[in-house]
Amino acid sequence: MVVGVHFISILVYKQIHPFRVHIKFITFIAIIAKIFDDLITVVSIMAGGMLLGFLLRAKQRIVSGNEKLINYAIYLLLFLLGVSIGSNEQIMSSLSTLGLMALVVAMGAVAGSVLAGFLVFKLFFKKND
Amino acid sequence: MKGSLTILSFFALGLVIGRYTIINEWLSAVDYSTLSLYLLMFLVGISIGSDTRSLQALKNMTLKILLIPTATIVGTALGVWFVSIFVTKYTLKELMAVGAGYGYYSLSSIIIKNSHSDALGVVALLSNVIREITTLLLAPLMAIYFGKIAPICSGGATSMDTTLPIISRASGKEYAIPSLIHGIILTILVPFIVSLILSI
Repeated sequence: MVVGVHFISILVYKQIHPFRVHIKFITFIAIIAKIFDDLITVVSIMAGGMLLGFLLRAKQRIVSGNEKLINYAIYLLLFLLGVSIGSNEQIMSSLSTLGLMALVVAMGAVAGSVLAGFLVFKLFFKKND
Repeated sequence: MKGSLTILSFFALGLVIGRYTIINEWLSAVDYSTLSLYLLMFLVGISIGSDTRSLQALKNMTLKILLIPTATIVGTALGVWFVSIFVTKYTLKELMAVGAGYGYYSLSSIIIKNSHSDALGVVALLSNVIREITTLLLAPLMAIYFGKIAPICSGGATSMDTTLPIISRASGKEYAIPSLIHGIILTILVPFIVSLILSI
């Protein structure tokens, strides 16, 4: 969508004002580069982990130790999240509103998923049982 | 269930300490949350790569199994779109990003916190924890009334670990592998879909 919108805007700018194409084009490239930069970082980190995990898959102690490390990493992350939120006055004063919002989104997400799953089950899976 | 309660209590501990001490002032010098996010992603990668079940599951994969994560993604989007009609405080885009955590609260909340705001990060955390707990509690009923795929879709990314035992009990052992594949696919997709939605 971002790509499409920017492409159209570039075409439009080109017709109206050749000079401004340059500025618009740089913004466009910067946005795309930012998205890809984040994606590439995340993908390469995860893929590196997957490769290492595959190579070490026979080492039971490392595998089970890794599961523990994941738990600790999650605890650390959530603790840090808590600290940064706890020190934010604005969020602390609206925590109940945020909780209600979370509940509403969760209910929508679960209900939608369950109904979609029901449809897929009825249409494609049921006859096999 | 015990796992999510432990996680919530670490979050709560952080809240209290952040509220009543000045710890945040000396933590904020370095971007610890991004560093620990990368650490977590690396560890999760090791976990997927070393899990022999995930390699076995890949061999049994038929195209039909891909319909399940598709149903979860589309169903979540439609459900969130529906509730967004009643919400004025947040935009559809923000609510969609929260929903796209698919129960993977640790990762999605950090991504949203880093690339959007602390407040929406909290909504994502709570919302996705609620999704996991709802699945743990209601999976048996979902399997009875909405078919054996429903608990898998409800579990989202958690269908590969925390909700896998309850799903295989509610839907039957033959749905354990589809549940695993579904969870793996969504776990991999969460960071992309969340950051994609936020960047639009």
